Amino acid sequence: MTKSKSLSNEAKWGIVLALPAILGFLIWTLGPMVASFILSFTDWNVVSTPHFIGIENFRKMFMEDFIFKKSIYATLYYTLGSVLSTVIFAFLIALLLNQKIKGLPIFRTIFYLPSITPAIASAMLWIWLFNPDFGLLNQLLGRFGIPRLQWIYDEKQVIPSLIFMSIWGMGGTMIIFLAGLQGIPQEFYEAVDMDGGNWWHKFRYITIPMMTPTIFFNLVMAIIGTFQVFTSAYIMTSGGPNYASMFYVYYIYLSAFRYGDMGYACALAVILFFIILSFTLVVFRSSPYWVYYESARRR
Amino acid sequence: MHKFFAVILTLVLILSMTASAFSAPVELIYTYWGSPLERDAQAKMCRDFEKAYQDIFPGIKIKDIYIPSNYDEKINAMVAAGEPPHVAQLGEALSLEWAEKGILLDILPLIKEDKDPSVKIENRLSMTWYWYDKGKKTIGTNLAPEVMVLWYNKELFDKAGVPYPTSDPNAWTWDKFLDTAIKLTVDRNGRHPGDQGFDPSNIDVYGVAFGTWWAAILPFIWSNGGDICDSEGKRPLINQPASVEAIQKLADLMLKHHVAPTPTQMQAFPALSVALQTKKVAMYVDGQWALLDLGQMGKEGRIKLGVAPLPKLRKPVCLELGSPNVMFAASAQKHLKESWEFYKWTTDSEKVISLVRGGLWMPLQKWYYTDPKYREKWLDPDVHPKEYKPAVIDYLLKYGRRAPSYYLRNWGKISDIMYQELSNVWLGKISAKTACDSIATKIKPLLTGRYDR
Repeated sequence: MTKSKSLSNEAKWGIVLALPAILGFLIWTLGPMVASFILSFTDWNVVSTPHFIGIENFRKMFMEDFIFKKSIYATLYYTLGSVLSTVIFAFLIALLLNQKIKGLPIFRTIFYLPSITPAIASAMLWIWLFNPDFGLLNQLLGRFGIPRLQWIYDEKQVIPSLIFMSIWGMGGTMIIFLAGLQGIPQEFYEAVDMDGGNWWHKFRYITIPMMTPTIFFNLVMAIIGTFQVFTSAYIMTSGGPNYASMFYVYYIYLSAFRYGDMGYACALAVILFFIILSFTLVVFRSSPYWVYYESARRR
Repeated sequence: MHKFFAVILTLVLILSMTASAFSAPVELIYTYWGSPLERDAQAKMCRDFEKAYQDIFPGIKIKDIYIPSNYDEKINAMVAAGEPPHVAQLGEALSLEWAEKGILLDILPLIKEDKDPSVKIENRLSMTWYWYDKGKKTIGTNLAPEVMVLWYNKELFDKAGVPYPTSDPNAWTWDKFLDTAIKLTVDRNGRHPGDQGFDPSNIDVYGVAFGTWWAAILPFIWSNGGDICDSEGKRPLINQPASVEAIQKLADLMLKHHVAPTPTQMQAFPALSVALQTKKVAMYVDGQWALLDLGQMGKEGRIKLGVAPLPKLRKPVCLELGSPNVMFAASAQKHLKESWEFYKWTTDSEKVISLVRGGLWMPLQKWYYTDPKYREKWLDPDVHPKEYKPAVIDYLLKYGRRAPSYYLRNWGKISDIMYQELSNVWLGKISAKTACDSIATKIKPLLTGRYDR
């Protein structure tokens, strides 16, 4: 009797102490989400009273708005390229940084450094690197006799260029991989040694399976984060040339604050929510087939 | 004892509330953007107002809020929170839309009642009024008029032995301009475009430079007899031969004649004013406002500055533009007298004469343009080049035409589409014709008429 009472007391205190976080979520995340869902059916422009207009915003989006289509394409293209290359590169670099070599702390710092550079500063830096006429990248290509590229100033090259740039900022992903790698018990590798396996066997049958939960986590985080890419379009390309880098969130921003069409921007955001949700679901649903947890049996 | 404290506290609370309600001096909110120099001048203007009106509105205070970036977002937020500023500088794209929704105050009735000549319709440049509701209402005028002109470095002309551009807009033709630009463009080996062995990838001095935003392009389209759309704002004209030809001619300056840097080459310059001063560019198209920096350089003897009208293709045109200062209906109506007096103050060029004389702004009141006595207050011989009067003032008075931002619906979206589509033209990927056809198709649904008709 007394035990159950003290438990409920503990639960009460647990809730009370978690209240700031819970309230924060309800007020600052869930509330605005619900509000923006409702507003997506209105013509709200911030300054006057919203009117209910049914699915007009969504009709306009799919039937008339050519920028919407371009932004969906640009964002999907970028997300696919950026997520895959960032995750793969971060994983490879993490593997290298997990070796016992001289100057390890320095290398780790150098590879992590770009991700703590303020987004705007790194965008400014890359504008210079990408400049077709006197940028460092074209200078380098010129050394090897490769003709100049237009980088972010060409409709076809802008997204690959931005993907290339995103690899540079993979530090956060890399650190998580590194932590994961260090969590693999050494005994497993020793066992492979005993059985006479080589580095490939260690990598293929120990490292990869043990790392799948980390890969899974990084993949989900990268998908969610990359879909919301904004800074490069805002600072570097203004969504150009010819809308080729009109990233979705940048278009939401333009609709809301430049064109004053908040209802439409909310509708765009609702669509983005469902896109990200579906992608995340796909990854989650696929996880039983490739993610291994020590505690779980494979289905 | 507890009860006693509670009573005391309540009393204090009630007293302080009633006191503030009855005798609180009026505080007006004013928001604006601009360079640090503009901030200082505008803040001083607010302090001057407080002093000048202390007798009429005892204790009046102006809370001037300087918002250097993301201005529209912050104003949106203030309005959404139900606390808009009383008076504010506002972006062209938002202004008329908000005016029509009743967010901004129609000041025409106030103007009619007021005797102050500085605010009378006929006393301000007619181009600078923002009209809406079929021209029956107005939110007021620009904070300051601006025009697009051609700045040049006289030393480069002297060195090349090329005559300065004429201040007569009718005599300054495209052919003369192109010829001048070719003569002033020099590659690393001292060769000009058209010379044997001229190297367009190693240009040391460009004859001319211009930005690729609408205000730098539109005057040439107009000058060639073209336009973005018809005068009713309903039918696109951007793909008509006159418009296309003007845009192609601008692109040819970069790609065919190699006398102007492409947008990517232009990144080599920290700012066009600096490029002009360091002799990397001989002439450049920019707003009158560039005189703030250029005039300062001239004053310090770092540049021999010249100014000319834009070259004409068929007829001279001077593009006039500028964002309005407005009153927000909800807040201004609460303190109408105070807000109105302050609004008038902000748009009386006399009150911000330091910015006018420094070169950043042009004055609003007509007498500055026509009365030599006032012109003397405006033009600083150390800042304004001596050909400023014919090249800028007369150019505006005779050939001035207001930008579409004064009247065209959906202007923000239309100008964005133009910018995006034309970006491929400046890189030489597509012809002006292809881009303009595409613009015409895309802006067609956005051409829904004008605010003032």
